[in-house]
Amino acid sequence: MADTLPIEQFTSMYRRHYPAVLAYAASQVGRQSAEEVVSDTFMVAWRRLDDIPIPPLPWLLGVTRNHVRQLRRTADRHRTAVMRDGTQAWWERAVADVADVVADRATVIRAAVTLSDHDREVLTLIAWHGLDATKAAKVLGCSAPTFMVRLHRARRRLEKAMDTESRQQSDCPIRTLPTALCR
Amino acid sequence: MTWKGPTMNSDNDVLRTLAEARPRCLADLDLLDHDRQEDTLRAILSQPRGSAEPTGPNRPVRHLRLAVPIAAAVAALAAIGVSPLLRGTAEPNAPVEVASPQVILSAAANNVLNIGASTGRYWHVATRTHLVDVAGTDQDPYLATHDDGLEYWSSQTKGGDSWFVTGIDEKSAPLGPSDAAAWKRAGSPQPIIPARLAKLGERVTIAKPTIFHNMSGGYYAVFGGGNVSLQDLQTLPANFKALTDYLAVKFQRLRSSGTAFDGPKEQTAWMFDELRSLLVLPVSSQMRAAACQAIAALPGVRSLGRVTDPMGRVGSGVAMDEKGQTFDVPLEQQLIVDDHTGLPLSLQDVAKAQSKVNPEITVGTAVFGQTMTSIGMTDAEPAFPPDAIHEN
Repeated sequence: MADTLPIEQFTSMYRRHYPAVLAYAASQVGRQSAEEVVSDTFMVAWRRLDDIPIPPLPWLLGVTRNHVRQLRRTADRHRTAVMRDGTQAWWERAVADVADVVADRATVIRAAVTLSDHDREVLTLIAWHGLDATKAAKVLGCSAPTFMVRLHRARRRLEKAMDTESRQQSDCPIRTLPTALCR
Repeated sequence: MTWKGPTMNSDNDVLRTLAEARPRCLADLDLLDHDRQEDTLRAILSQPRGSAEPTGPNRPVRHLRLAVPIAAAVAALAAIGVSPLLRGTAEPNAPVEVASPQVILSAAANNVLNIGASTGRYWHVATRTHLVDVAGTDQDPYLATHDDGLEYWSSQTKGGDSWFVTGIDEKSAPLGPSDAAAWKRAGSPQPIIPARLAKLGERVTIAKPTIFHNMSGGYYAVFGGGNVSLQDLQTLPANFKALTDYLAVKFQRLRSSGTAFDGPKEQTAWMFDELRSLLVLPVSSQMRAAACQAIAALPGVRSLGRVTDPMGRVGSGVAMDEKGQTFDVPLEQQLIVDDHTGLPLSLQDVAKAQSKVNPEITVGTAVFGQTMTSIGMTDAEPAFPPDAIHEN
């Protein structure tokens, strides 16, 4: 039987960080699979409650990331299709969210989806998930200097992709998402 | 979640543009399903800490015990001492380390108090019961199932109308293959008459649903070892200690009157049964919460963690060993509550051993059961089966 204190400690952490972990997972595997990944993440957190560093969010996102990778490795055909559809739907929604607001924002989203998963992850950990470089490095399991190098390269590729996007939009404003996103 | 934005050096950076393009679908309320979030939390907390692998899912529970012997529904059976049995195929939940019964029941108490804030004209309960009894002759007995529905509406207005419908979609059938063979040897009777009723010369037919209006006899349910009226139910203690004391007195009276109760274990098992039954009856939310707290305080109550009821609904379960034996096997009394409302999803008694007398009663067989297909406050007027007849 669990003691009261760990329950309260875990519950507090869970409720505080669940939204951030879910948002990260949704951006990685789509909305449908995200909750399952998040559930797995917090199950690990419950078992290893005594090992979780402070602040816990980078650790939680790191565990989530591992689950996402594991899921991608082991998913069967059906699950892979579901994840692919979920991820694509999520990013399409992301594009729709910004497409009617500011053109630059729509462009940067479209540019982001042309990047590799790796670059997109590095960028969004900072831009969307509220982490600084040190915490983002912990999520990825690398040093902060290494992360800064990866971030710099990803940023350059994003800039380049935005230029390409801007040119293509002027030629053909309505396009579907690139399939590379769905890997 | 409070999002504080990216940490960047450049004022005019693509990262800033990307941050400003953060999709609305990442916003907390847009992405979150709070009910599901809390469901996940409860599921996680029901698991042991520190283990390398997750605990396997609890075995589903498929049948329940009729623990609220509403007067009109079972009066005839009770009068002749019939011990109706319900059967299912569920197994007792594995003795895993899970959230404590106190955690489960404390949450249930809080939730039923929240239900109290909701309004409605009626307290409405619809249940399905699954009953197994011995049929046939002494020379060629067999087990048979009896299934029927029961539904009632209790006005929340003092002096308001109440309705009670029994015998909804009543069915009976042999329990298992060996029972079916004996049933055929007996001439395939329909309906199947419980043996003890048959010995008394009772005629049992599949009756039409029967509507009772305002229960003119005054008795509404059996609680605390006797018939009680709606007014009696309203005057029960709404404090868990007082409620426990009240039932303890009732138990002592039953024992002194010669009813077969002896020993502290039997008292707690009996009180568990009475208290879980109270959760279904038309009582105040405070009283329902007190019943949850009283169950939590009973010695021997244990947690089943997350379990599935006969309708496939997931809830949290607590259990207590039954007194004595039924069908020559010990039973485990179970209560499964809804994690959102705190109200019972099902009540059931489950066999803890293989019966040596009845091969169909195996470990996990639910021999008593009551499944709540609907429970709670409603403003909807009673709707009766079209073929129902009015008793009064």
